[in-house]
Amino acid sequence: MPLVRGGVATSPGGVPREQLDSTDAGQRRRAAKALAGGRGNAPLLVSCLGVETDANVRAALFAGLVSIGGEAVAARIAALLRIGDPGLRGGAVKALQQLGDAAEPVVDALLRDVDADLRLLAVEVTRAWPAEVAAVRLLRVIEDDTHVNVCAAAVDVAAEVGTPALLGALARLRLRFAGEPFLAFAAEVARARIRASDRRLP
Amino acid sequence: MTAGADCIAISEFEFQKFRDFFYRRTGISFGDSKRYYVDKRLLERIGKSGMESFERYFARLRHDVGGEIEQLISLFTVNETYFYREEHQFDCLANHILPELTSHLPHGARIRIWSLPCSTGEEPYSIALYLLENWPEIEDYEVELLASDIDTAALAAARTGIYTARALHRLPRDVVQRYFSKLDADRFRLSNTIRQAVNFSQVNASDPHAMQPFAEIDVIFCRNMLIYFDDRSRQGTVDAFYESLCEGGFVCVGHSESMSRISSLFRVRRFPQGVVYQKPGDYR
Amino acid sequence: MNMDIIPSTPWRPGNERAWILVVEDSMVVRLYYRHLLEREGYGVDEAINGIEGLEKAFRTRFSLCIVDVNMPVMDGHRFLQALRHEPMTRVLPALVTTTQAGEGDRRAAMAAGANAYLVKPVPGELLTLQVAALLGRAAR
Repeated sequence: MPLVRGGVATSPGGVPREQLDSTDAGQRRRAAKALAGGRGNAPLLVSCLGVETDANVRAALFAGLVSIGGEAVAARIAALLRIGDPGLRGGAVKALQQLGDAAEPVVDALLRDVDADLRLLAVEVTRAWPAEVAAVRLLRVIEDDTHVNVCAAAVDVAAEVGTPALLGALARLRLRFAGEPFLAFAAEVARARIRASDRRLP
Repeated sequence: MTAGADCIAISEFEFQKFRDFFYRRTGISFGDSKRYYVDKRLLERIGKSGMESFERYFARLRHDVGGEIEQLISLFTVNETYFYREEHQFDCLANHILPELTSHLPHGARIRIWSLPCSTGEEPYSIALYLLENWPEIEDYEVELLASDIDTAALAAARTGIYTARALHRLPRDVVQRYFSKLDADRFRLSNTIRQAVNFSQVNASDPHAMQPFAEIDVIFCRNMLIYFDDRSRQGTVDAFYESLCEGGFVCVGHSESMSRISSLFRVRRFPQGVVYQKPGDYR
Repeated sequence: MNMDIIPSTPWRPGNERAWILVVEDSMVVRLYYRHLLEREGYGVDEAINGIEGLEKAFRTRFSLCIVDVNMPVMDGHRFLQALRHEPMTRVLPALVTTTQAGEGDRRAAMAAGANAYLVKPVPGELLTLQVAALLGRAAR
């Protein structure tokens, strides 16, 4: 019989909302976990993310939002992408991926944003989507996006999920961005991988 | 003639696509020289899955349908257990982790070490033996050894403590003599004292509820389990580890395993014997 | 575990060539850098996020690392901070290559522990020149 403790220790000072402001990261994390799943808690979780710097507390806040789910939550998480912090952005991208098709509307909107950084992050979200769903978006980016890094991100995802429908657009990238040898290199990698499956025996 | 796995060959670019995807998801990478081995096992799985092409199979793989990624991992790895396996981690425990943890502890303080999956007991018993043999300070502290596994048959065998010579092949001869008695040509029984030093329990590591009672753990050994779990289970188990550990407590995983595909909850710590993970915060 | 397929740390840095760790989320970028660096005679290893980067940097003595900022699980800033915290990697030359072009981004990366900062897409010659410069500086 192992030596075990009975039950989870409840923190003194009660309600999670107050604990969210604790100076102790462990307490803030526990408070965030306690808020998971509560539909009305989404705004609070997001506002905490706006100021939280501890990576583990952030993880719990994002997990809480994902457990609530839905398009409204996706939109709130997308708003966090506009804050420049790379850790926050990474957490937001992962959360959007975990939200599945609930994130589609907001990701589609981000793919049209004026900010290239946001379009790039939106492309990364599509990596978690089924290939057919992602490929439609990737095609548009590879055909039309004017920013080299956004296209590069789309090419990277296309190398994994791309369909033959992307081959033409990938070939044209070299012309669209004539001065960028990296993009030509990347497009060729993606094309080779997409074409590989085309030569399969029936 | 129907197309079966025999008709499928994996092209160079399909191999690359698979390799990059698998590396991204699992952290396992293949050199080009392993092409034959990978192809063979991939074709086996494609055949079993009933998919007529690599492309179809890959689409399923991307979404880990039916735990396909984990099936592949099982095919690519050989998992055997014996005493003092990955001994460098016990070395790390005795010479770095425990000294660090105990540096501020009073004598008589309790140290709790948890081995899971413990399988047939080689790992928790190895910890006991190694510390008795290599950590003189064990006298000064109250070391509790916990060991858990989902498999009740393995636990029963562990409690019995009878092993073949093969399981003992890495133990120094004098250690075998000191702690084992020979039952017959190929069976050795671990001494009562050591067997009683370990508390065995049945636990499903991917059930958060089952993990919850374990608390104030100082060191967790979790080797060659996480690699076989799917993403969600791994995440849940590592979260449970985090909750079970004291602040400043440590997790050791298998040498081919990594937290990089699971979680950033833990600090990556470097010791001469290798990398271990530490829960942030002030230790006790 | 006897991973009969996985090469177990196949490379040991020798005296003949420098080994570079590329810590970068994007596969095509890693491939491109590998192509450029191997052409120059460097050995290359890869990591896709900061955690894997630390695991590798702590196990093998690299001569330099090239680091992305926006990576999942652990970003480049946190990676650099952890690198500088550990004696073994305190002075490991770190070149950040990132899509972030702002002056604030550059300052944040340098403050985290970067030695140099280039904005993607990085022209091949510039990458190799910068790598050589950092290695030259380190050798002195």
